[in-house]
Amino acid sequence: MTPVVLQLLNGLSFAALLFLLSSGFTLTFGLARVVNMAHGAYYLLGGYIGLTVIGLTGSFVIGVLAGGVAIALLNAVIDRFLIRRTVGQPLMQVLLTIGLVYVIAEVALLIWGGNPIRVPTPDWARGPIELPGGIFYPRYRFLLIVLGAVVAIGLWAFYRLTPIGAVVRAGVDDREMVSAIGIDIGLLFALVFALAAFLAGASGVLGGAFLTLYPHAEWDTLILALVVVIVGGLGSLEGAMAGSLIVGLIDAFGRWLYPEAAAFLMFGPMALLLLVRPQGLFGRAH
Amino acid sequence: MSMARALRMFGTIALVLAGVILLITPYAGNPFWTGLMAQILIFGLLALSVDLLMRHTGLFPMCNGAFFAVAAYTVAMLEVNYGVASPFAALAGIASAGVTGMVFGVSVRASGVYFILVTLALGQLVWGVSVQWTWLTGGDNGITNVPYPSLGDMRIGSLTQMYYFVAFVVIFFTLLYRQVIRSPFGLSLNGIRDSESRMTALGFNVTVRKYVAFVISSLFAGVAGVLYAYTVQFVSPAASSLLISVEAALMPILGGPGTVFGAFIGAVIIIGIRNVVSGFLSGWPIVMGLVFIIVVLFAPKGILGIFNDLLRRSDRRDQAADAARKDVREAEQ
Amino acid sequence: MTGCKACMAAAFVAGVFGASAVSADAIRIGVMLPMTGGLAQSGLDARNGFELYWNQVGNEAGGREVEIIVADTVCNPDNAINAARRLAFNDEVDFLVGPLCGHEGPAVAQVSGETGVPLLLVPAAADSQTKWDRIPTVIRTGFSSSQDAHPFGEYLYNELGLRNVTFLGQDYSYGQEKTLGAVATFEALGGTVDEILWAPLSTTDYAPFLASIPQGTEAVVPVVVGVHRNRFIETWFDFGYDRQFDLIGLNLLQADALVDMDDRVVGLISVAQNYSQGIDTPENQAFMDAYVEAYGMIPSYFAEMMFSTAMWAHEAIDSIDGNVEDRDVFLQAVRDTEIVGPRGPLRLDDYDNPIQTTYISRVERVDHPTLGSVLMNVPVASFPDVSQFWTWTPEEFLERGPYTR
Repeated sequence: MTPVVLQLLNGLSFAALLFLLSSGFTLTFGLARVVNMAHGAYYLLGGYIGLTVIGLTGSFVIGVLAGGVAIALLNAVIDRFLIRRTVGQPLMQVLLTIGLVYVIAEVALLIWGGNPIRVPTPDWARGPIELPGGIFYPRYRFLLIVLGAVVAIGLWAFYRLTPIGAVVRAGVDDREMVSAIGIDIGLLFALVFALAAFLAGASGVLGGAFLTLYPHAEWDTLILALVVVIVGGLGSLEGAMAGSLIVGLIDAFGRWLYPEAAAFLMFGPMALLLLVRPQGLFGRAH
Repeated sequence: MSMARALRMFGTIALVLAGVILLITPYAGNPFWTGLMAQILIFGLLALSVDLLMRHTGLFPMCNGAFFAVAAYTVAMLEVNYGVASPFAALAGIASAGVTGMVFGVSVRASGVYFILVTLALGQLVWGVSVQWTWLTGGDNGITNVPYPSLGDMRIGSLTQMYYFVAFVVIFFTLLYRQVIRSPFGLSLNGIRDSESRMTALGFNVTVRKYVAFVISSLFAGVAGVLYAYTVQFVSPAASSLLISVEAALMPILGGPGTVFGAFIGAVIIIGIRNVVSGFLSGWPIVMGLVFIIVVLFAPKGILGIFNDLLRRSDRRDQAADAARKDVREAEQ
Repeated sequence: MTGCKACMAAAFVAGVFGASAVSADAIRIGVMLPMTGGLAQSGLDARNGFELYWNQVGNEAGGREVEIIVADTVCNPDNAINAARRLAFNDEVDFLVGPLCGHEGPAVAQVSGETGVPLLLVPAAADSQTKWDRIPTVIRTGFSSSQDAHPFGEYLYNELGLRNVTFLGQDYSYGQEKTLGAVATFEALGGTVDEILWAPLSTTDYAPFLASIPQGTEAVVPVVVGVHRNRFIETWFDFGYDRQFDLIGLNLLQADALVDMDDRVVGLISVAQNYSQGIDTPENQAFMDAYVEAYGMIPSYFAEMMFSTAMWAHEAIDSIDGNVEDRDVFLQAVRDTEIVGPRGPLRLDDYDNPIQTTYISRVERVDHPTLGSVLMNVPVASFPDVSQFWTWTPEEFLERGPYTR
């Protein structure tokens, strides 16, 4: 029984990170149809900035916030001057943001060097905690699960229960209508973009303490985020939740039970799902 | 001389010059330039396979590197491990790319951004196999010592001969490609790109046509993969990496739309940055990134697009000038 | 005005095409390393080690000036092959050194074979290049993947007294060759391998893998590379596996990974390699001091291997009075040269692979006079004169074929 619970927790902690990583990606797409391939590069850069700030302040929390805020600001500039000029042209958007990946990754390499660096976990998150049933589990991962759940519920409540959330959803369905009833859709977009970029940057710091920061993480992380949103359905918050859980749990149980098939654990189920439901679990055809 | 005429002359000269360079590279340069030109031709053909879906069908695939790699691996394995004769190995390489294309073709059920992401993920599957199944692919070490192709006793014996062989095959398939896009089938793809619903209303089975286009694209990518295996003489997981697909997609956009030259112009620039600019500029990935960004923002129609725009504008200016001169003459009379 | 245009054009042409034109009597060495991308840091370490040596000897060998031209391979064979050709034909180098990544090795070796430009193959380690796929113009000055693994397998059995172990191997060529090399010698002595867990390069979380470690096993032997080392270590301690099993690193904590580690890893067997930073010889002490002074950090094994390679080339060139233009003479000189580098005595076997010492290292906290308190690898055991074929005859080894799953 214990190993099953442990794998469940492993799956959940990975899923929590995947959700933090991919929710921003899917939100921006849902609202503005923006595909940002630089999402993985945001993660990496946010992680490095957080790492430096933690080194300066000694505070993990400030590091996470700094990573998030820095990326939100950077994204505001990038969105204003670059991405906005490619609205409605997904192809151009993809190429533009891939160009950004090259630039951001090389700049990060020049500043932080190429050795893998782990973001240090704070003292209060180190060591194991004892869960009911005498199961010991790393505290940091446990906290990550809690944080993932809190952010997921928070985003869901924002999305489903607040007036702003209603507008965001309306913005997804019918942009003209939203503009017609006099809501400043520009401000709304800016808000959601900032939130999404913040999540990417902050998840870099949180993930850096889990998966380590290293050159090429910009691509590896992007692919993880893409698999999650493909499974869940692009643009859907519920989809990002479901996708994260599915990918996280398959990864944990799959590697444990069928280590031989590890190469296909990520992409195999995704390919199968596509046969049945090409738009993903919660996606709508577009 | 008018601007338009100067431009036309420049275009003609550039074309002739490109042809001359293509012909004399092995004799004017050295094996570095010959090898580089061969790579440019091969990746140009790969870029063309992307362009079939991108320009003519409105789909943006991120898995053509996978077809390219499957074909290259098949040829390398058959030649090195089983000593299969080159024509059969080459055909098997193209066929294996086609079969992979038939399987990955399910992705045409998705469209727009979704298609991009799905094909990207499918391409990663091939990369995973090439790295991990070492018994099949040689893993990270790859498959080495692929011989130059041969037919009976006739064997290509040098890089120079290989280069001309590559040039011949690439030109042949480029002409074939032109036939495909000008055929009724190719024109129907343009219709799908412009309006799927109209084509459906006209009685075309849009999904089937997209699927066929996807498979054709995988076959062209396979031809490029076969040439790659024979020219570079080894295959490693780098052939299936995401960057190959990404850069192959940028090439036609960078070069310009519509004509087949665009893909090759793009190949010259991207491969040039990777192999020539990197020689004297250590931060060259930043240059590569900036090229992506600048093309998207300022030259979405690519280099040929800029050229055509200039040409059209100066044509119009010439006409206006002619008309004005005529007016003046009439007024004087 | 027109005249000046012409002279500007001439200057431009000279600038573009003349950049690589160098004094005719200098010896030109083409170095191929990844300077960008995921392995840029290792490439930089390697370059630093190489340049450090040549700076020490005043960039001179055999009475001639030495010029180093570095080309970026991005750890991509397509780029590597072009880089090698560019160095060979445009820069007209006398010989090539590199590359770093395993899969670049065959690409570069092929260019060497085609052109006859000698290649000192280092640090790329693919076994086959000095065994089944040898090329006459290619001499390895680094190591073969499985070379240090063979003595390590015996060390597990004889010195540590282990009988039942579990291997965790990175699932790609280098990881397979190194893992299976140790498995071979460990099993030959009668040891039992309970399980080999293969971790793909796409592994993000090691927790699910480690849950598969069989209960009765005595020790876990990881062969992990790059960022996987950090991930593995973190999971190992987070989940308290350190209290359940011994951890014996075959390829776990080289110097570049130690930078990011803390005191939990002190005392661990960290790596079996042809170099250990704590080697107590005057040669190594001098190298360590010079490297720390020049670059402010402890040299990685990439740095040492390139430093020794430079030394090797230097002595070979001296022995033929700088006549590197005669390639056969140069290659033979490299074969005949024996040196004592920081990593110890080096000479070639008949298959052009170095016979050298294998060090098994343990992590210790060391007070460094300039760097302060640092984690460092210190040898706990050394096996001198280790050949790539270990105790088998070359024929036996070649007959058996490569280590692969």
